[in-house]
Order: sequence, then structure tokens, then C-alpha cells
Amino acid sequence: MSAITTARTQITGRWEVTRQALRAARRTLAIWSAAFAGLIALYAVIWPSVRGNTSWRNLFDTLPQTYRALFTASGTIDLSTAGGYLGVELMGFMGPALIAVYAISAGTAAIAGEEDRGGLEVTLSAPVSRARVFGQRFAALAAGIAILMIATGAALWVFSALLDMGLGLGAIASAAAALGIFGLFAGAVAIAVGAATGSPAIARGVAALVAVASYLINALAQVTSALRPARPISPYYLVLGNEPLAHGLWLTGAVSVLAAVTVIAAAGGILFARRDLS
Amino acid sequence: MGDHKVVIQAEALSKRYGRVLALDGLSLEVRAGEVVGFLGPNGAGKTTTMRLLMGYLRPTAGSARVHGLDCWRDSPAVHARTGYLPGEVRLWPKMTARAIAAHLARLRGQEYDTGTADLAKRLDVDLDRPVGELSKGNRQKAGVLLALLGDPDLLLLDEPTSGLDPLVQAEFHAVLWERVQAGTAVLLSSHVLSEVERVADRVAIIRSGRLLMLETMAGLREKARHTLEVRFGSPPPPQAFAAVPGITDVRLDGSLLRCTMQGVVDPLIKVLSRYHVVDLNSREADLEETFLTLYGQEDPK
Repeated sequence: MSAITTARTQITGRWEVTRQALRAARRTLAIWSAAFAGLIALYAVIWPSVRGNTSWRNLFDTLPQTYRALFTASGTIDLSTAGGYLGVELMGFMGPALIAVYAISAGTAAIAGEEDRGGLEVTLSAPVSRARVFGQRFAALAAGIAILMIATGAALWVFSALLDMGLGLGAIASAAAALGIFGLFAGAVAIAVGAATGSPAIARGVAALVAVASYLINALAQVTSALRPARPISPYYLVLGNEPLAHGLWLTGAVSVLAAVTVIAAAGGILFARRDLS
Repeated sequence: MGDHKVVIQAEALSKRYGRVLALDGLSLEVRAGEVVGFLGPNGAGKTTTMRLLMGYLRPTAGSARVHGLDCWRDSPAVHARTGYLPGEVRLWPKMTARAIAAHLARLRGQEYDTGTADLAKRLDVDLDRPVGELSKGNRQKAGVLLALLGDPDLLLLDEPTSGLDPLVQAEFHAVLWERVQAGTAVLLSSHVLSEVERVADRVAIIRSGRLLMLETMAGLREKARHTLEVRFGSPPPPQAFAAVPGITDVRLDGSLLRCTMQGVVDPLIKVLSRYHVVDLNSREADLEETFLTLYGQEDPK
């Protein structure tokens, strides 16, 4: 083995855990990318009939605020523009729900699921620290979410062009980033709780609870004054509350959620390194 | 035979799970070029010890060191020189053994080990089928192969030959012997005495988390219990064998003698030679019987 090959192996080997995790997730990622693109295609082909339909628009305008709060992040429904329409259809519930489902299942599988099925012990029989395994599996989780959001953004761009929806690249990037950050938050809770406990069931349960709570806090804060002060602790509100497809990404909100993700992941990594494997 | 450097050093190693003391003050040394057989019934603490040595578990008390490195704090450095076969081999079902070997090689910062193919041939491992499609025995072989890759100078093998057919077992023992000659230290757990007998230099017997004894193989053999069945040409006198040293459970049915010998069977053979022996059958008692007798302990359950 020459010195050059050795050096190259050491560099490619450094991200081996991430590489292997992404390789194993190839098919899942392809299916999920297709699902996101398909969903957007569906919304897009319906769009022309919504655009011309004023009676439907009027119906939405008469809906009670509670109802609107459950459909959208901000409580405003504007079906006259493609951004407003997709804000209700995609960004309000379906998009965040789907990316959260993906991220929670991938985050749960990353450590706790691997541990449950035995793969974690194989990886950890090699000279790698638990911190490195956790960090690299977290990186694979983030990369997977990024891939899905690139697919989502690409689908938005293609269908916007095909059906004359007039979505700008900035708006599309903001929407994909907002959904991705929300997914990353849910996934970070799942991987961290799984790493800290070793239990896939607890990881999945806690992460789902946190994701749903963050959605509900935002919705209910709009209609219950008692919950209003709690709204800024909802990651859903922080990244999706200002309708990124219509108004761009709210940076302060996005950065706060990413800061929370960092803290959660760091805590998960530290607890993972301190406990017994099951 | 190696330089006899201490490779594994466990000192008063203990592991407690809640109220259960899975391992209670184990002290053990394994040196380079030495195979220590780790014997005990299921649940005795063998796997717990292996997992403590791998740094998967944190000791409740005491310490475990490999090459002087702490198994918990310095586990990556320990793993760099250790091959591990878990008691239950669970690999990524969709990956082939070749892909897993390559993955582990990269994690070690090495090229795909060219010795893999040779070793796979010797152990009859199918490198190119997803391990999830392999039978239990074939998966076990893949696990053994993975543990041996990268020429580790310590092998921790938890029940390595369970589910292996005799031919592969023999080849595995041959590979093991070569490694040991080259100075590799081996801790091999089993609940089968005969396997340990074949490969080990010393035997550590563990039960309910405690080390009952640490003996050379020869020493253990002297203490082992044998069940004998002897058929005579004609019935011997009823009390002919009562005075044989070490004999117990004597049952004489006409010309058939059944008895148990503690330790070497020589005293009985000497007495038997006075009679016309048609057939002689000796079976070594299994491990549990052996050390239950040795220590006169009841199974606590």
C-alpha cells in the first residue's frame, strides 16, 4: 500500500459512517423524493382551477379564525396567488408533516434503531468513538433531509414554470429551507433521544410529540390568548410562521431553531457517549 | 510463542444492572500468544465481560485494560487492535460480507484487506450474498471472518463456533492456532467444555458473575468428571468397585456397570483390568456438571 493510497483512504475513511448510512438510505431517499415531487405535481395541476374559482376563495374568507389557524402557519389564507395557495396546501400542514415523518423515522433509525438491530455494535467494533458515530450519523440525517428538500425545491421550480405559477427562486429556496429546518428539528429530537436512551420507541414517541406540540402551539396561540406567549417557542412558528413561500425565510426564527438543533444534538451525543449500549 | 506481554488486564471488574450483579469482581489476565477459554453457563457474565472489554458497557467498579488502555475511556484505541465476535452476530441484512469487510477496513483507515478472500475461502464464507439471505451458520462464519480481519492482536470471541459445522470449526481452530503462534491473545467464551479443551491454554470458569477458578487445561482435566458405562463378559461381584478412589453413583445391573469418576479414570481402569471387559464407554460430563461437582454449589436460579 503506497503512502498516497494510504492518505487517500484515510481521508475518504474519515466520513465512512456518513457514507455508509447514506448508501443504506439510497432507496428510501429516492422514494421520498418522488413522493414530495408527486405531491407538488398534484397541487400544481389543481392550481389553475383554484385560481379561477372566486366562490371557493370567498368560502375560505368566511372560515372562522380557529379553522384557518389549523390550516396555515400564519392564519391568513390568500388563494389569489400561487404562493398563498401552496402556503395553505403544502406549507401549512402536509409539507411539515411529511418531512417530520421522514426525519423522525430516519433520526430514530440512526442510533436507537441501529442499536436495536445490531448494526451499531458492528460500527463500534471499529476504532471509532461514539461521538464520531453520532456526529456522522447526524450529518447523514441532515444530508438526507437536504436531498429531499432539493427534490422538493426542484419540483416547485419545474411546476411553477410549467403551470405559470410565478414562484421566484428565492421563494422556493426559502420554502425548502424552512421545511428542511423544521424536519431537522424533529429529526434531531429523534436521533438525540434515541442516542440518549437506546430505545426506538421512546425516540419516535418523544419526537412525534414535540413535532405535534410545536404545530399545535402555533395554531392554538392564534386563537387562545392564554397560549399566545408560548408561540415563539414553537419551531413550527419560528420557521414557517411568516409564510416563507410568500415572504421569504425569517432568519431570526431559522437561526433560533438551528441553535436549538445544535443544543439537542450535542446533548444527545454527550449522553450517548456516557451510557451502556443495550 | 509471543513475548508473553499482558494484553488483557481486568481488575476486580464488576457490572451491576439495577439489583442484579452481572459481574462480580472479575480479575483476569490474558497474555500475548495465549488462548484463555472463558467457560460458564448462559447468563454467567461471559458476554458482559466481553462487552466491558469492548467499552460497550461502563464498569460499575474495577477496571478493564487492553494493552494498558482503559477499555471504557480509550475504546477506539482498544478497537484498533481488537477483533470482536459478538455472541449473537447481527449484521446489516442488505449488505454483503464483502461490503461490510470493506466498510470496517475503511473505518480502520485501511484499504480493503486482500487477505479477506483467502480467509473467506478457508472458512467457506459467501462474500457476495446479502448477509440477510444467509443461514444462521453462514452468518456466524461471516461474523468470524469479520472479527479476524485486519490482523488484530487481541481476539474477543463470544461463542465463536456455535452453529458452525465440524469442518469449518476445524478450519477456524487452525486459523486461530496460526494467529496465536504469531502472538495474538485470545479470549474465547463457550459453554461447551470440549471446544475450550481443543483450543485453550488456560480456562476461566465463571458462574453467576464470579470467577470460580482459573486453571490450566491440564489442571481442569484432572478435575473433570466422567460418566462411564462398562459391559462385562460375566457379572462381576457386587462390591467389586466400591473402593475405587474417586468413584461415585455406582450402579451395577448384572454385567453392566454405570458410574461416575471424579478426576482421572486411571484407578477404575486398573480395577477393571481384572475382569473381562466387553465394552467401555466414557463420556465427559458437561461443564455445568463438572463445576457444580467441583464446588458443590446448588444452582441459585
